[in-house]
Amino acid sequence: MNPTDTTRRSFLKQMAAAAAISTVAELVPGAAFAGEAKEKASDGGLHWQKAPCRFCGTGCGLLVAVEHGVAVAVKGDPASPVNRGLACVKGFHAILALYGKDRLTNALVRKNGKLVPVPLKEALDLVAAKMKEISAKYGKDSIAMYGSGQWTIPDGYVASKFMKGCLGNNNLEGNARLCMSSAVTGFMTSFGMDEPMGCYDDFDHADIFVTWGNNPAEMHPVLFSRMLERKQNSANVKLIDLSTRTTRSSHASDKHIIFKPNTDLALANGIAHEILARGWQNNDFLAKHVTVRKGKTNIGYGLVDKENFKDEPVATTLDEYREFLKDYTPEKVEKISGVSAANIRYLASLYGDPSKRVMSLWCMGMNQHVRGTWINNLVYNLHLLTGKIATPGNSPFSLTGQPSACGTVREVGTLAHRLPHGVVTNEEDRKHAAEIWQVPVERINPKPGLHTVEIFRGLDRGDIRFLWVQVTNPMVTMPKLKRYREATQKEDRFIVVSDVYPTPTTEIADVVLPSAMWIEREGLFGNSERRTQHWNELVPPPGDAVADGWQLIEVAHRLGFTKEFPWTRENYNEKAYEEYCKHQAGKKHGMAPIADLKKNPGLPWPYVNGKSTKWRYHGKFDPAASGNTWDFYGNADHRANLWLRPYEPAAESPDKEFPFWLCTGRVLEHWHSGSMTRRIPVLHRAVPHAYVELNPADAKRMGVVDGDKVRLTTRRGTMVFPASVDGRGVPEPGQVFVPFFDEKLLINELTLDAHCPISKQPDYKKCSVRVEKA
Amino acid sequence: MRRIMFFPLVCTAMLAVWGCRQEVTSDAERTEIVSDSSSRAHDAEQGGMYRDLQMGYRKSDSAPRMGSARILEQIRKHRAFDGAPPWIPHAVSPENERTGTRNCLNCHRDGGWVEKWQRYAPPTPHPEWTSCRQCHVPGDGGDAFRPSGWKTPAYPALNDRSQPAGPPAIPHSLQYRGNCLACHAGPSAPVEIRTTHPGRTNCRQCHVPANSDGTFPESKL
Repeated sequence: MNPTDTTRRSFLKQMAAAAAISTVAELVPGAAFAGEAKEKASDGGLHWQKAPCRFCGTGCGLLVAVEHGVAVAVKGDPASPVNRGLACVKGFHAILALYGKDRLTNALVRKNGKLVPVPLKEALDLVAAKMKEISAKYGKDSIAMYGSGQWTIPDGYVASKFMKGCLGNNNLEGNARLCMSSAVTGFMTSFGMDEPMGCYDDFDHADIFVTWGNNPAEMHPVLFSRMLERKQNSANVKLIDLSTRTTRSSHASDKHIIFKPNTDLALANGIAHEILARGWQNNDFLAKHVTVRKGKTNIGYGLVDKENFKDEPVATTLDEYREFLKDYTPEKVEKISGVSAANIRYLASLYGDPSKRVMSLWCMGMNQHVRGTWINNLVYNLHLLTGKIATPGNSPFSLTGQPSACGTVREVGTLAHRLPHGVVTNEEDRKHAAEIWQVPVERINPKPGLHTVEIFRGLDRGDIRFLWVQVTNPMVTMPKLKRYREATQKEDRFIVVSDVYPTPTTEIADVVLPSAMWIEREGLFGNSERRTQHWNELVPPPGDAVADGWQLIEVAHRLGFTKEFPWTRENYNEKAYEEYCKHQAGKKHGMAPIADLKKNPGLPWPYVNGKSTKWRYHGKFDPAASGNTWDFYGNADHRANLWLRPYEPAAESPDKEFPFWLCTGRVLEHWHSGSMTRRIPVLHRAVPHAYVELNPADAKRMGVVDGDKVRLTTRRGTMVFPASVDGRGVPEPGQVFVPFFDEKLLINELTLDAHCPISKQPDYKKCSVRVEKA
Repeated sequence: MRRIMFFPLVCTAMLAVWGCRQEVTSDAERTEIVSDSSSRAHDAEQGGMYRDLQMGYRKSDSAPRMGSARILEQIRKHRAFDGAPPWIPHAVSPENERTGTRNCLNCHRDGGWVEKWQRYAPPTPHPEWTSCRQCHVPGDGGDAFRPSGWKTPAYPALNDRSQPAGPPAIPHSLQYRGNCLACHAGPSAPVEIRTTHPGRTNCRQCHVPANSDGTFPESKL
């Protein structure tokens, strides 16, 4: 009998006891009436309206209740197929982010060194005048705009049309460059088209979940709960955690395998070696659907200004691939990665077992990586070798960190080389965009603009003189922060920042524009599984705050682009989205019309004949694919690319002077730079400041206990953090971890701006650091 | 005579077998609840049935402890608004911090007296969700980062009855709170909302959600 079971008799006894307690308690004077003063008639009158969550890329559907213009409650939307009514602690408190007392409600302009309130109109006039003046003085390419994966789809679209279609300037970036561009280049090089082939339904079908350098228990909690749910429902489901640090996800997994930093490249090749050595590959799939390719090696780390690496892919053979993999026998990989040969063989047996459906998941661990594109390619290789791709439960799945990193930055294409459909370097793509924008095609610059790190380097060098930052906080999130913060303060630089709260980025601004936030305006986001979600304006924005996209349109109008933006503040979201849909029309990327989105908790693209496509590249599910089997139509040969990519070390590895690895990341309670979540009291109280996680053995050796002060020193600088020993994450010996959300303890002062030369995405996970008791 | 003695023996044996079967059924039912994913999304539609009649007590809790009853104000203090997940009002172990799950359900699955806190633990209405710290976080981290203008909205009134002796309507959303007796029965249930009749298990036979203000539009004509 289990300890909670009781007999009927003892149950009755207990019920009698409960009644007795109840009676006693009711005799306590006043007790029953406490709190009644706060009560009202009923919550039955609450009117719930849908909106996707403001935070991560999972894209949970939420329901928000509004009374008298104020959001009063929020819950998960049971109708959303993403979260089925669940949320995480951030989503369950998302509405509190609107109500920090220090909301920016006025435009601010720096006068005599101080930011002073001005009417919004005056600030917008100044921004337009400065753009004109600086463009005339330093050339049109001295202007840059930096947005984010938190831009709504219409706002990103307006930015793209304004910069590329009106100004002929490609210096338009989104902070997704810092979090998703390796995923993009991974998809593009392997499949010729961006974004996952599968969808969240894969969570209900997979037998094996392999998380690569990923901690979904904290970063994508709702999706992690879907994995746990799948595991509870089926005895054979396994979670395998591959990581450099022990996290909550590791504890919940069936097996936790630790590898040394950057050696996931060798590990993936080791698994591939074993699959081929055992004959577990799917020969038919390889023969019909895969091309083997290789590119340049020893490709550097992007540490030098203006470095512009270009890969030169060439086709090769499966035999050459086998030859290449001879350097990655399980025994050899064990020496590189620290993962035992037995565990490498075990992983290969999971990927190689034809009876098991495998889902690989990753986010920043693989993307913020000096070989981010390569490791994305190498994990796709495992799915291509075994043919476990683009069918239910067989799914290499790149997760995203921002609510519209996919929908806006990647799909609308607010990146230096992109157009809403295609790239600036392709003449056909330029013509397609120019036709829809109704601008002369010559106006679109065929040369890609500067990528994010180069925009900030350009600001330092003087190539960039005007920078408009919207919906992001680069003075917290840029690596090697000191250089780029000082760049903003140099002579003759003009910085405009649109935001909802004061941040370290508004501190360096010449003009601050107050933005309407999330449900204070209408908008659309696109999540990790290609799902587009629409929401209405549910509460009025405070003071002069207006949507970021409308700020851009106001300035565009002042610069004479009224014909390009013939929209009103009330209708621009719908009009911009409708126009954007024209760019993506067709079976491969058709977007759901706004009327359908209003009626549904989001609809994934490709949306063809009123139906979303759940699995792309397979004729059974995807109307764009020909035949009844796989068709990787993103590539000209209709085949996916399997890549020869070697292991190469990180840009900066520990040495005598700086003997530890420094890794940075997030915690469950805080999102991005913390400017919203830290203003939600329940989240701030849970994790009120940053800290440095130490391995208990290192801490003991240094005489450090939990809460002691620890000095971290890298080649970029030195800072002191409180130690976390035996906390929620445990790094390996010789490694430390620091979350980046705390603007008072800015770990990015110490990080390195080394990046993947193909994706230009910085590696925030690896640099060398000295660790001392302070 | 032998037959007379045999009869009680048979009865006892039958009762023993019945008892065992009851336990097996009960475990199987519990597994079924845990394993049926569709039930989770719609727990609000389960009709208010609850999983364990002995909710709120452990077998070892033989004697009720006095003076530990909670009142509504206490539990409201740990929520940002009605329906928000409550934060954790006590310290958590390093093991819980590391795993995000471990130990929570030891006390909060079925409740019972917790010596360490000198309280009856409130049972969770949704023990099938095991990544507890996904939604419930410690609430002891000191001052605000910046002052918040958030004001907790008024809670719905209790005892929303259509007539004096009528059963009160359910004033809150049932999402993740569809297991009525987790909060409305047992020693940790706040005194103001404790049911007087926990043995009647089909709660929504009499108590219906107050989904509107109760006025049928046409009745105004």
